[in-house]
Amino acid sequence: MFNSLSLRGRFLITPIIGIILTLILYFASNAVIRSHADLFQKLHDNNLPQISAISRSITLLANNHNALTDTLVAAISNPDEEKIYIQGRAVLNQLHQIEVELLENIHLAHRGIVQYDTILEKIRLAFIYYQESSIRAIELSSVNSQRAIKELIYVSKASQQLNESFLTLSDYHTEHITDTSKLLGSTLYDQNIVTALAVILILVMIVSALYFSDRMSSEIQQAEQMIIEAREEAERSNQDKSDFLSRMSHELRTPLNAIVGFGELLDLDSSMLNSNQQENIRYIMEAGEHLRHLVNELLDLATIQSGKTDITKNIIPVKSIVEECITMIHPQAANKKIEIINNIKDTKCKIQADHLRLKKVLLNLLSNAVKYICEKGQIMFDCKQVSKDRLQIRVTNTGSVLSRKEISKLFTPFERFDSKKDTEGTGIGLVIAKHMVEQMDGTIAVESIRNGEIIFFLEFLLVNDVKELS
Amino acid sequence: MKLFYILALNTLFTVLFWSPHTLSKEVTSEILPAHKLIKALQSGGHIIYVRHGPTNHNEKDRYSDDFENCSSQRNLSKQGRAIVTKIGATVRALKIPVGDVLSSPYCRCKDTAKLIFGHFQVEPGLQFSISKNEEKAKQLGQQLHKMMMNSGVDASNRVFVGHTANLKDGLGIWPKPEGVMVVFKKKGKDIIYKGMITPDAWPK
Repeated sequence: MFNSLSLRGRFLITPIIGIILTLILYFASNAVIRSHADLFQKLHDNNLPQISAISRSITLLANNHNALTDTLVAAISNPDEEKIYIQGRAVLNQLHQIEVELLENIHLAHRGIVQYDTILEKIRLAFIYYQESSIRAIELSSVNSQRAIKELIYVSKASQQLNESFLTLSDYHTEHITDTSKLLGSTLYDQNIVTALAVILILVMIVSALYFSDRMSSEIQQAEQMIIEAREEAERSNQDKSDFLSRMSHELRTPLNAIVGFGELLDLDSSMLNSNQQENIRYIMEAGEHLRHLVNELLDLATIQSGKTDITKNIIPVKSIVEECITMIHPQAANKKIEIINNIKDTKCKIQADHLRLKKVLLNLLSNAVKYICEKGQIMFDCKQVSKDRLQIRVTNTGSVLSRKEISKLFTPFERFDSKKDTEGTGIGLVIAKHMVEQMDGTIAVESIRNGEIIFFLEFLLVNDVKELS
Repeated sequence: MKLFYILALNTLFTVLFWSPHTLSKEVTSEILPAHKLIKALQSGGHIIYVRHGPTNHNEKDRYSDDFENCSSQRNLSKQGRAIVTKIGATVRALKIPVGDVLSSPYCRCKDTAKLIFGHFQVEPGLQFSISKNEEKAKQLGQQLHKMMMNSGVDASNRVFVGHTANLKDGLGIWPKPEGVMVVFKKKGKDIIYKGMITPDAWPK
């Protein structure tokens, strides 16, 4: 998917991802802030009256505790039980009044927050324990004034417990309300800072992405233009070369034709010449013929590279065209005692190809085979249907003197093998043959099965009414 | 403002509790010594308020409504049980007529009533008022006064077994010490305080 994007799109992906991540972080931090704000609202805004009332009650309790303590201390020095009861009764009455307001506000202050509600419950229980201790202190002191000292200790402990439980509530508020408000403030501040920085960074990334994508686009366009121009220049050079090759070939052909022609004329009248003169005429004609052959090959290569060749496909019986080529190459083969065997027996073995060019290809293969096979070697032709619509012609050379490395370079232009430096030719014959086969929608390949044996595989379009060959 | 109100109420109650003239001018006018009180009781027609016997001061009341659970209360001490048993024997020996006996639901009061008089009936309105708020304590005091007013006059003596605070809140009398018998006489619409018989004032 990334590869299908334009250059600008690829550059913009990073800032887009940055925007998405920033949005996610922003909303996530908002959720955190919201939860803190909700807690703050629950504990502060919605709970403030109750907490204030509880705080007042605790203050009143402190005053009441002083009065209780005074009563008990007075009981020690003045053990009048009735007086203790009277004074104590006043303290207990006030304690009862504080109880009503305190317990009601503790009940109202519950907010469903486990830790907070637990603290409130502890305050309630601590108060109830303090109240019971106070009642007991007055009761027992009015029964036995000597009990006042002990009861004073119990009441003081209960008072301390109550104060500690209320301090826990204060600490909780400090931690969760005061600190929460600070945390909210700082979180909001941080959020704004981070968001602003993220936005700035993303804008910078977008601008950079647009700038660099444009710049890279223009550079790429320039590079593409240079490539196009270089290719056109190369094509022009190649075309110029081909044109030159074609012109030179034509230019060379004319005098060559003259040389060969006049040589033939001299040969016609050679009865009046001595044997040396006759032999000289043969040398001239052989050289001229060879030169004309080379020029023709160069001209063929130039024509192929220019793309100006015309292909005329016909239905060609393979057996007959192979026999034609064997007949033409036979004298050369016979000189080296090379045997050529045509195992293509079926006359219905037909392919679609250009007759002239197929003949050139087969002649090229045969002439190369004769060049690179040692004496008493063998060339064998056979064919085989390899698929529903393809026929393969195999040319097997045994006794070849080429190495495997040389075989691999057979289709390389102008490649002439070191082992045969005195062999004639331009080294482009098989290259031309390969081009011609491909122009006829065929394929050509070579393979060395074992030392000294080379097989050429030519495949062409099979004519449909041909039966499968063995 | 609230504090002022509380202080004002406290002052008022203190004055009320301290004043011997609150309930009746005649409440404390005829205070008799123990032997005369005993003789009066033998005649019947009086109201007796018995403060429970001496208790174990190391035990503590839990101030719950579960009066059946004596383990959560301050109960009669061993000595206290002996004292009230002896008082009961003395009361019987002196042939002091005893009518209905109403007891606070606290175990120490029930035990006192049983050991002195042999029979009793629990009256929830006689429960200890010290742990109640001002309004409820006052209500219990008034309830005691009303029960005494409604007790009827006959040859026997009506008995209430209870606590200090209730009598103090209801009739302004502080029964002292534990096990004391406070004697009242109904006269018209008033309850007249006649005196107290402490545990050691009973004849041997």
